Amino acid sequence: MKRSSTALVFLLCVLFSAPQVGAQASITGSGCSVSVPGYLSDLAKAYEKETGIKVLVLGGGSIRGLSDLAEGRMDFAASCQSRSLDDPADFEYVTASWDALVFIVHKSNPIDSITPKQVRDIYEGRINNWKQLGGRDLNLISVISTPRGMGGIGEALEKYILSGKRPQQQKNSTMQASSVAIWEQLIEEMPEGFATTGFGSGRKRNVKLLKVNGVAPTRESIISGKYPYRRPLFIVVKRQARPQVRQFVDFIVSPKGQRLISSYGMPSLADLPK
Amino acid sequence: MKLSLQTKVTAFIAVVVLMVSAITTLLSVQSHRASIEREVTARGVALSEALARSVDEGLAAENLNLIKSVEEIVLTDDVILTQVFSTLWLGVAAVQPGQLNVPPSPEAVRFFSRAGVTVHEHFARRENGWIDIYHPVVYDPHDTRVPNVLIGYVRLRISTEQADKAVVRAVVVNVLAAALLALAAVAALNALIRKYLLRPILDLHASVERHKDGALPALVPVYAQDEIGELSQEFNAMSLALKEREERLAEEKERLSVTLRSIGDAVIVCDVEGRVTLLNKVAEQYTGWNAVEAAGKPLAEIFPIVNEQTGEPCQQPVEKVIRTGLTCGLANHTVLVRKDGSRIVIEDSGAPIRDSASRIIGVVLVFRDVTEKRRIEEELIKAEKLQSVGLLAGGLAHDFNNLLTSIVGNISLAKMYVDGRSRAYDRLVEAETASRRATDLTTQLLTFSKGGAPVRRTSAIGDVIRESAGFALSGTSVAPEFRIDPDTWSVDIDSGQMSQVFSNLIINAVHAMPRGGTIVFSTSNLLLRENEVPTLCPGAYVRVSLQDSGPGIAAEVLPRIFEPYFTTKKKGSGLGLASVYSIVKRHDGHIIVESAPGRGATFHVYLPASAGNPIPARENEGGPSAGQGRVLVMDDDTSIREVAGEMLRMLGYEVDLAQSGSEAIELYQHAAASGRAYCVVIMDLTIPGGMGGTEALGRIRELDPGVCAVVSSGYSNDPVMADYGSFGFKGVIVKPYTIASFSKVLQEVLHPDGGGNLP
Repeated sequence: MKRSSTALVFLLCVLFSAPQVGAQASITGSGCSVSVPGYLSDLAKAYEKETGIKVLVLGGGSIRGLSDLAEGRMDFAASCQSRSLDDPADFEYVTASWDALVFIVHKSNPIDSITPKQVRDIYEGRINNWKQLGGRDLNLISVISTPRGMGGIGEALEKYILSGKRPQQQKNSTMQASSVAIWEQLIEEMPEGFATTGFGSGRKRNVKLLKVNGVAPTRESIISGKYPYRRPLFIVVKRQARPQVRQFVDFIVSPKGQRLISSYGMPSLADLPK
Repeated sequence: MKLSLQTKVTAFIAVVVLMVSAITTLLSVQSHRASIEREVTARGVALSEALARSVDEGLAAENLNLIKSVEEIVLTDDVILTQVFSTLWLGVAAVQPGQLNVPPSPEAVRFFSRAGVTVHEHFARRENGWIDIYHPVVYDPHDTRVPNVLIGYVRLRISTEQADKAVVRAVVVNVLAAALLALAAVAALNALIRKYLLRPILDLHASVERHKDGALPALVPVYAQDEIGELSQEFNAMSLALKEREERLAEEKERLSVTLRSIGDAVIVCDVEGRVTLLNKVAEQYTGWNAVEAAGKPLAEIFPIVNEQTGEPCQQPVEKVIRTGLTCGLANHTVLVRKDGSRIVIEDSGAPIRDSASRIIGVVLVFRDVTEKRRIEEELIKAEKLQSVGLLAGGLAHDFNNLLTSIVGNISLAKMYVDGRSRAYDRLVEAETASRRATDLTTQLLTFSKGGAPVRRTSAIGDVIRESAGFALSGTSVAPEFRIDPDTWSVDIDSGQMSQVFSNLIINAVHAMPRGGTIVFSTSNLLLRENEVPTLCPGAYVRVSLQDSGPGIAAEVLPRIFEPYFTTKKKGSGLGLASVYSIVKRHDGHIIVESAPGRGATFHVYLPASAGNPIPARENEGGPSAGQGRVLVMDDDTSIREVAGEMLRMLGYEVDLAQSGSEAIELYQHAAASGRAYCVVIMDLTIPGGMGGTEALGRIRELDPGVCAVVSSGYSNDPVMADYGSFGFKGVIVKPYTIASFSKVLQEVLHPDGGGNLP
């Protein structure tokens, strides 16, 4: 038993020391669950193909990404929330792409469109049944994360819909989930569900994206501005980040990188005039 | 509540055994519980590790379905919660949707956020009913260029319900086993303690109980040579010593009790409350109570004492002794009222009984019956009183007698000189009669006083009784009844005085029976012991009893009847019984009266028996006889001298008179010398301030040893009068003189063989 545990420790040491050896050949990042499926996973693969440098990208939400970055677990963070006063001073925000807030419901939900007021009424607890929106007599359950965990989505809701307030958890009509990715998956399974997410990730889920004021969220409607609630997506690095990290960021914002983003169906920086 | 030693010991053992088994059960249950917990925790850790290792792909991709499929793998019966957290401890997925947001324990969050924590550590937390195990989730990108990354945590909650049930089962089994063991241990210990500890103690206890009941010695068996064995041995020794001491005490008590019973005086002991605790035999006799019934009763009930004179209850001596703490005697005249109501005069003393600390714990009362002693004392007082009265009376009587001698003499002479038919003669007869009564009175006084020393002759008392009775009862309606034993001893008495005794007693009886009755005269011979009759010395006595059938004498009068001048009769002199008493006393005898109202009175006269035979009484003398010859009369009293001379001359004698002894001697000498000697010399015994008869006779006998002398005196207390012969006298004449008495004595001395009568 003792011998085997000793062997296990040895094996683990070998296992965990290995990445240190090849650290030069990889970049890691985590964060925004809109950015990661929206453009970053594909872009990382394209970058590896081009440079041979492995870029590991994990989701978990902007807050997790910023936290991983601050504690040195990751080389960069993907974030959909802008710089805040809580951020370390050496954080450098780089706008990487455009996105927009989208409102998602279960595929079976007969509702197709929603107004900003209705969104506000849902988050402020005045609407808690789909009947109030002309739908089925079904409790409306909105999925949010903790106020702190609302991250970039919360910031956008505050800015565009809730007149400077963060969404609050409502009794009997709200459930929590850790990140956008999770609540998108929850909506996939919940006929009574309602959630706000980003266009980048929401479009890839098996959910219905509601029109706002009759305008469906598409790359084109976002670029044209017909669909409201456009917002930027950031890559955050430390000022003294490794050159490989810098090179990857440079690649993202390069015309080639932006072209690739556009090709993934996202409104890139290049699609809009600066 | 009284608990036996055995119950206490059993209870003690039970408590100890139960405590021990409870502690061991608790320890064993705890160890069992800990081991089960370790087992459950170990399984939980293994499962959480498996979950963490399998969920990494799903968590990295934030793919709920992937995560859940992995979670379902580890879900077993006792896994009640699986949860996947992001690195920010936000719930990512849970098998049951409602459990997604079950917050992690702050301890776990702190555990994994501490510096130096590695991804291989887990955190387990025991809650009520389950154990939570937290394990980090590490993502392995399976690319050697990329390091493994911590992407979250899993929590696995494993129920301890089964384990708890197992623990409960173990507890039940353990407790049952412990209880059975404890029961067995208690029984065994109890049996052992009973045999080796309790039995000797219970035996000792039983023995102590037997001691309480007084069974001695109550020995206990000695079972072993341990402390209890030694105690038993010591106890046995103590018991034997106690028995010995008790026996000694009993002996001592018996001896004391015997001593107490044997004390001649009555003894009563009582406690400080005055309750009787002890009564000896004499006290039982005196009080009439026996010791058993008297015990515990108040002293006043057993020993009621009253004042002899007032009948008032006296203060109990106990109260006084307790109050003063001093020994005290009873007041005089204390009478004890016996249980039957009779009374005895007592003399007593009470003394405190003190314990070793000198506290009074009781009183001892000693008393004796002094009724008899009191009677003797009273007799003595009475005798003294009579004696002093007698002295006074004697002196008076003597002088009075001298006067009477002259009066009576002159009257008898005067009668001879006057015509028997004249009126003067009648008056003289009256005067003579009155004078004779005065003479009788004087004689009685003299007899009663010292002057009456009996002139004793050995006599048969029966004759005296019959003679006195015959004389005193003639002319009365009272009949005598004689029960005189012919074998009655003779007595030395002055028969004149003694007939006066009987006459007085008979007259008394006759007065008491005015309508007639009987007087029974009886005699008996007695040998008296000391104090059998008060004031009498032991010896042979004759008792003469006179029993009348009169109304009896009242009790309050009885003690005083012998007092001079005490009388209940209108015409009594009060000297009759006083003289009786006096005469009997002078005969060394005693007189007692017994009487009760309605039952008559009996006088008992005790007289010392004589050693000699009775001397026959002399014949009765005739009337005065004439004589001739020269007679010398010596008396200091001129009138007596003159009367005597006149009377003797009347009888035919030639008389010379001398007023003193010396003159008589002179005359006698002169007469002898002149050849005209006196044939008789009559001399007064005592001459105040001069030579008395005895001395004068002595002188005369020196001159003429054949002198014929007669002694004369007013009273007969002088031994010379009773025994004149030994002093040289030939005869005796008692004043007051009568012609007849002169005639008689002169006839006796001049003609002892008889002589002629006066014409």
